[in-house]
Amino acid sequence: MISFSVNRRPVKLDVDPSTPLLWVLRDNLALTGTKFGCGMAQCGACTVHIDGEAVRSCVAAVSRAEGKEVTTIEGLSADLSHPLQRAWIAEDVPQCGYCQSGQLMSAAVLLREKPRPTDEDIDQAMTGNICRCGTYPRIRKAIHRAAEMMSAGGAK
Amino acid sequence: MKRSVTSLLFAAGVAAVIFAGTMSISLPVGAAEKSGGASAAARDSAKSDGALFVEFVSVLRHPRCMNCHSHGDFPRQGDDGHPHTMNVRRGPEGHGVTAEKCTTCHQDHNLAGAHMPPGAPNWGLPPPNMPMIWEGLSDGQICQSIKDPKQNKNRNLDQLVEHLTEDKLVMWGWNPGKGRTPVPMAHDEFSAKVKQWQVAGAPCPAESGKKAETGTIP
Amino acid sequence: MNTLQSGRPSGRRMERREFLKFSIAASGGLLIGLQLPGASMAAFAEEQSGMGFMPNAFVRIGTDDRITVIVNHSEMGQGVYTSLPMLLADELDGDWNKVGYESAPVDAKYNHPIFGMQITGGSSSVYSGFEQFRNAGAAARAMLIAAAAQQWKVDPASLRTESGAVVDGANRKLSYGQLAKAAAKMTPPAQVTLKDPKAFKLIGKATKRLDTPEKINGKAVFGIDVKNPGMLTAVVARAPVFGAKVKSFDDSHARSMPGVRKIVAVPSGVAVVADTFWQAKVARDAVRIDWDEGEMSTFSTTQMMQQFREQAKTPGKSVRTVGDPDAGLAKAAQKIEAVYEVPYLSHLMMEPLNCAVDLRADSCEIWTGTQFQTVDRAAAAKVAGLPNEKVQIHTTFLGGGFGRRATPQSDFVVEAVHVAKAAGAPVKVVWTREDDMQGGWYRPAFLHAIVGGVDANGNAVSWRSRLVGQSIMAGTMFEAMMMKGKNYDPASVEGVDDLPYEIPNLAVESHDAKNGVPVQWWRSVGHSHTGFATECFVDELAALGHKDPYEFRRGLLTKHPRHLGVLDLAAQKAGWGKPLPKGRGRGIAVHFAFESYNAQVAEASVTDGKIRVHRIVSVVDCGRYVNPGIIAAQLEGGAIFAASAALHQELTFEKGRLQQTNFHTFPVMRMNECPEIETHIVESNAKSGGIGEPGVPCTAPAIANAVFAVTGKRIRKLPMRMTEAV
Repeated sequence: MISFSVNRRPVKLDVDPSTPLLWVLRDNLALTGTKFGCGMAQCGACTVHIDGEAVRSCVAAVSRAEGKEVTTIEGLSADLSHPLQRAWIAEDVPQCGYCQSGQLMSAAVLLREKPRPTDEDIDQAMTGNICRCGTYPRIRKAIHRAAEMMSAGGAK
Repeated sequence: MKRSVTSLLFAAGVAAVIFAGTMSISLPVGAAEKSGGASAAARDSAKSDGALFVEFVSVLRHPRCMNCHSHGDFPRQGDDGHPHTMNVRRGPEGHGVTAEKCTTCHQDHNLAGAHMPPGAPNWGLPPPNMPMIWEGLSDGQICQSIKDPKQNKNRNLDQLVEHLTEDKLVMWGWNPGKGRTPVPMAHDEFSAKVKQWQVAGAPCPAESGKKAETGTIP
Repeated sequence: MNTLQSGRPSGRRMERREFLKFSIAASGGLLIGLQLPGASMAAFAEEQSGMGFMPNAFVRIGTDDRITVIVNHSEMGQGVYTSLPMLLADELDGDWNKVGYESAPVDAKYNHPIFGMQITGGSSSVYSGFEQFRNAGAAARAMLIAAAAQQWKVDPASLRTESGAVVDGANRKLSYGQLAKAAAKMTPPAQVTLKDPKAFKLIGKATKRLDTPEKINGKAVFGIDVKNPGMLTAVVARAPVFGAKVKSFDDSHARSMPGVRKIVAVPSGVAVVADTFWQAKVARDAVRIDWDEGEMSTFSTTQMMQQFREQAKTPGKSVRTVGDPDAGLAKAAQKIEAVYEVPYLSHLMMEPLNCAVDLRADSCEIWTGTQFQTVDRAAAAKVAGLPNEKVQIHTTFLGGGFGRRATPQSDFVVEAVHVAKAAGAPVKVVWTREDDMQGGWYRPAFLHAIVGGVDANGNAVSWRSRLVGQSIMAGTMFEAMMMKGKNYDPASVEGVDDLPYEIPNLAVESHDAKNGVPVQWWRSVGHSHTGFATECFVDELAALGHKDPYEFRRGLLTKHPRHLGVLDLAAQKAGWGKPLPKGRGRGIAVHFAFESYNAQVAEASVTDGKIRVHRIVSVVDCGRYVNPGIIAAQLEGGAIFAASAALHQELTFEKGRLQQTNFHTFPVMRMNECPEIETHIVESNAKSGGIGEPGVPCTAPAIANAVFAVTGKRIRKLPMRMTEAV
């Protein structure tokens, strides 16, 4: 049995502890917002947070989450109110959308640590997340926009 | 020689490293070697002086170690020491930055399969205030730097030897995962040589000792 | 005035019984936990509004005022779930805030008006749907007006509509939802009047994508996310070499692994069916297979390219001849020959291929992200042993398509039906990234041998292009249609067969290479290589005659105003001729593809042999456009997609085995090397053109020409390597 919490809800699972967290989230917990892209930490589509830090869930065994707090895209906000989500809508970021969960989860860690990121900060945080549709210029703009929203007065 | 060249070299890059390294001796190293190396007396002195260190320095100079003890504010990968893909940075504590920390991809163990992220406990680079850059240093300089508490996280000799022979991240060099070349010496042999060196008082090679021929990353 | 009954399927009214059947199917899907794109919204609408009003196959209006547009093209990032609803909603005068979307089931009603089957491709969704969706909206509007007129007992001509309501002269209002039930009883109009473009409220205006919210909260359902109760997951061990067949396999170890339900042989290999993906994947890797590798087991791309070079020395099949190219060359003051080579490429969608199948005795339900519903359904029906109408495909969101999900052989759908059949259970087949990359249907490798000449004044006098590469049409159901009356594949030579440059002597020849590597369309198809070769070579001719590459092109396009339009605007916006920071060069390219004109200017530098693209200006003339926001996004994405290929990507084979496996060996451009991209649209009232693909072809040549500008070296081979520059 492995116990941890996902999006602030406790879960207890009887799974092989070596199973990648990604597949436990997707197949056992039906949280399919976290995506499979490469299986080797090359693309970032599977990015979630473990205790607030970005983790590629396709290579992290579920045992790594034991006793910890996992946050997935479904837990970023309940109502699209996270500044990044609002900025993503404002900049019309997604195309196919498949990589965007991972992009957002990476960007969320960036903004927590660097509330006013420079372009260089964005390059250093986001280069591990591939977007095949080429939404990078909009992701960059949206991160800056979210940072502005946050500094202009938090949530709204 | 006690010259602390690290910060200078850090800024000046590899070309300057080689230049600075040659400044301390009257002849360029290549010329000295071509002339038959040092005299027999000098060689003996070098042996007592630092040959025991030179015995195992090939491990420290191997890409498995050097990729995180090299110039630049980033880790390197592969036997060619190319900069880590994905724009990975050293970060404030040597563990990456923001959404690209080492633990974002690396676990505390290797993952099965070629080209999967390798891992070990405390996976990371030396911190920026003590970056332990060996690239471009002579054997003597590496020896001095790893013994210097100001450069080695305040370790005394016993702790240093323990680090070299038992630390799990260092040990990873012998078991780097599928598709990666391990360091070029059996671990037993390496440990024995490190301990021999320790017993001899951890002497360092003279400054005119062999410079970085391997492990200098272009 | 447009008539609805002009043979367009859009005009036919969906029978109520048929609609009922469809909505039951949809809610049935929901009951078992499936959420299709927009399905939750549709279900909500139905709960609220009962039947609502479905005047035709493309729109449903609920009593709650919700407008659901049924979209017959697949949403793979190109924005059709927004741009096609915009067309309909504009003519409907619907309230945009109430508009949602739903993917169409497979039905002849939803056939592509040009291709005659349900397909998303050729950058044609918007231009082929331009009138189809407007007509559907206008017809619905007429019925709503008729319903209001009946209720108010007034002349319909006295009524107008605005933002989801019918309004009379005294400003009385009835919302579309209030009118829905009555409107359903109205007779669809035989013909409708479409708006004057000046009256467009949505068309032509940057409008936020409708699908963004569900793509940023994890709710959007892609094929890989489909999971119905009882559905198992399969991972298939496929041939290491194209055409290889299973001789025998040993699954004794794999069979005993946790979660494994069944291991079955299928035509493409051995499928491991398990409770979860990871269990299936681990067990799949434990199956030992002895393959009969067949004749591709010695295949090498190095050898193949050598053969291409040899082939290019002999004349190919004539595609186009103007004047006398040989005589033109003989008289030229200066000549130049160049050989351009491009490799096989993977589409590499972020979402690896997958397909879920629930096969029953008398039905087959399929959930997948496909671009090719009609073809996939027929292929699935054949394997299932059912008539076409017993097979339904639920089109999910596509995590990228780029052409891969429109495979004439329906490989990933056919295989999944085989697996479901052999497993005797509903099953979702999921491909790993490695499976996907090694699965074939690549952009073919091509070689262009071009020779050209200029006269003493530096004017182009002759050009002969000779192409060598595999046909993507040969052996497919499209061969007869596409290659009718031709002894070459037009998809191989598109973009050079219509070379716009006004050169007095011109020849285009094609060699068809044959081998067992499966190839097909890849974003911009033939243009992906013809754009590169022709736009690099015209640059080489300009340099040969000591001409500015922009001015040289202008001089050869005097009768091509739309080419000139994009070229001039790109040059102007990029500051052509103005000084650049030291070490940077500019390159330009222009190309016509998919009914649209694109020009790009790239700025690049080269440091230690590494090419860095700093800026790309991309200008399009795509005629009358629908959503400039989406057009900008497609131009940005097209340039990045193309730059990834130009700078990094190639597939190579040794001993029949693909040498690339995942993103580390087939890299995609990442955030830190992404150039600044600036896009512009040339205003035009011409017929609408495509946008998904036209932004691709110019990027590689613009970068290569920029590299020449800064280094004096020509890149003639992709991916670009300075070590191979000449």
